[in-house]
Amino acid sequence: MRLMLYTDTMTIKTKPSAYSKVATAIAKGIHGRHKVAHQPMLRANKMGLFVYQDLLIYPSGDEEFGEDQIEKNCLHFNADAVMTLKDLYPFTKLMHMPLEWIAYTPVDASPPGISTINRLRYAFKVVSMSEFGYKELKREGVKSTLIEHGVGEEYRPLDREDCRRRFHIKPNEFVIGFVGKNQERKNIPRVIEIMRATRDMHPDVDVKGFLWTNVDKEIPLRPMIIGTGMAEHIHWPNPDMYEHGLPEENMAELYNAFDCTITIGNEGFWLPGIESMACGTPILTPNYAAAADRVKDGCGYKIKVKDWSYNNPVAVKQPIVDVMDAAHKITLIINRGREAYEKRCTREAERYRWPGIIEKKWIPFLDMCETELLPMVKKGRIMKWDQEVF
Amino acid sequence: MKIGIVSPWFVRCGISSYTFDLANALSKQGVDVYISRLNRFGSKSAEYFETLAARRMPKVDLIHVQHEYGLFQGGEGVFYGNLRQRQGTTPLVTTMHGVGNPIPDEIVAENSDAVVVHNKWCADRYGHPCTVIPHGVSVETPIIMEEAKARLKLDGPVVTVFGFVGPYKGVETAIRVIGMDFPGVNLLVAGGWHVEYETTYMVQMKDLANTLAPGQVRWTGWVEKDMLPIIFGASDVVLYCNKYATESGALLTAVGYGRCVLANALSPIKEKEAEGALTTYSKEGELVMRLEELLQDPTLRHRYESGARAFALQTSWEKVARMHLDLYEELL
Repeated sequence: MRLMLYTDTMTIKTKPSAYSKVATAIAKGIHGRHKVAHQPMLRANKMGLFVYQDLLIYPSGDEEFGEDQIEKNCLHFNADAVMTLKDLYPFTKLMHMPLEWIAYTPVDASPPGISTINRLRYAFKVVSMSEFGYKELKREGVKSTLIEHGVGEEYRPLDREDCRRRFHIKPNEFVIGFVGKNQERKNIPRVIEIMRATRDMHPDVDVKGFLWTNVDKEIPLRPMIIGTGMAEHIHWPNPDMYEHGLPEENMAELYNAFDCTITIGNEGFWLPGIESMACGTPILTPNYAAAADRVKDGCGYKIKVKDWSYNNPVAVKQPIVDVMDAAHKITLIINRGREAYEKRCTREAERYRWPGIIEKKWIPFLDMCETELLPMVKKGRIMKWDQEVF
Repeated sequence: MKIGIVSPWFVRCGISSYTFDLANALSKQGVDVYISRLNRFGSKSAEYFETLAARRMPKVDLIHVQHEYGLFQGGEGVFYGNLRQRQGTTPLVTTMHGVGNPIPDEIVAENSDAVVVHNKWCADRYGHPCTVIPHGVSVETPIIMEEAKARLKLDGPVVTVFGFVGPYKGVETAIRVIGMDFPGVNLLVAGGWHVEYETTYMVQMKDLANTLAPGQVRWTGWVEKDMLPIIFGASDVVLYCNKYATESGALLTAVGYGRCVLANALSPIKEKEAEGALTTYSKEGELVMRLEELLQDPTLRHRYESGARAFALQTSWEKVARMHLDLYEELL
């Protein structure tokens, strides 16, 4: 099958995202069985068509999400299907193009927005990335195939002292880590409140925060860090370094340096959660949306949701977590020690290793798509076209 | 024999269902059928049809295109020109699911080695050489009426309208007649739309039903295949109020389930009436009279049910596939 991957850039380091990583892993995993091309979004490829590591990279187009270019690229590539790996809000025209659209989409709210459901009605196939998303779509009458994201082999327990040294973290510090874009929906100011509340609760422990984000982006975080008196207790990277992105090996070192990793927003999957667990670091998530799927017994804790907010452009339900409950849950980790969680976390994360996800999920799913996209009917049975056609 | 069929596939579309049944029946007679997917939805450009014509396909003995104006959106010239160039001497057959649009009709006629239409009326209207091969019918058995009605929680007589719910389907006629002349009779509107959950037309029809036939109309939405034996099992009469038709898979599905069908007397439908498959009406007054007769007289209903079954057996997919095979063999 010929598949066009239409997502964040997989090759050009402009704005790395979880989608880029996932798409790269899928493209590598199915290489040889299917022909894959890629149209990067966000005007990442202004150069024209080129080949990079066996992957045909198409121009991004002039529009932010490249809808002006995708049909042309698919026709040029003779794509059997185009797969988006993205939220659905950027797409306004894609649904009305004569393309077979596989929507690999996050669902991060209950109920999912009506605009999400309406768009998905046009999809050839829908792939949900979390149990939460799968159930929500089912409730809305949208059939989907559940395929969770995977985690790379780089993410594994490492020598923590070395890792901490690399990020200038002292051995006695208890570090609450956050990894993610600085977006309104991630509610990082509340993460800072949690870091402060935990610090206040434990004067005998050197509680620190580590925000792996661009503190100057969507929400200006520096004033809040300073205003809450946390300037000396929160680490953050130089914004340029964050935007450029760290190699996976170094990201694994960062997770190894944390004592726990937290998110409090509504997530469609929360890849950092899996990466953190693969490194043996426990996680904390709100008791809502897909991030909560990640928390299994002994791997971390779900934080109580105290209230809800709809103050976002697509008016989806977002959680406002209970700061004190979060601080109490972190206290449990402080008391038991990170090591008490390491074994369960790494064992749980093994389920998400890419080779297994590709073999057990993506290959059967794409085979099923191929049978519908390139069908052959023989003696009353539907099968896929003979391989020699390719 | 290996053939390639260019058609929509596995989508909510009448042509897709038609191709599925035809391909299945042909394959049972030893033909390997390769499907080249023609997208059902979306606005299609000349580049789209160039790509479609050039889409890779195994070496086949013959190519069969399922044509419908909405699917081609005026792209016949580009598509057939490119297909002819690419496929060389491979025979090309086109089934015209609609006829009467002069320019596309001519392009198809000029570029196809054979053109198939479904009935005599289409053949006359098409005006170019063509072969009549009837639309196939799946011969099916509905479940027992009492059980079907119980499963749908319907009491009393049931009149069903089946198929896509679109503005040319005449659903308003069915609602008006049932609401004003048949108190106590249920109208089962069994069908939805291609993609959208609900359309403006459907909302208008629901409003009309609430005004004229409150409590009498049941809407099922899109009907999955496994629900068909229940839907038709529960139907005393299937009403077909279309304002226009060249052929109808929905109508023939009802006939295939051996139901008593009362249909608007459109020319292609009258051909089926002449063969005893169904009965027709010409005006709304006649519709009321005929429906009353059918609902009151089980013997009369059974006569049409038997006629429907006999017609279905005559035009089963197996027989229709054999007719296609004869045509293919003539061309090879």
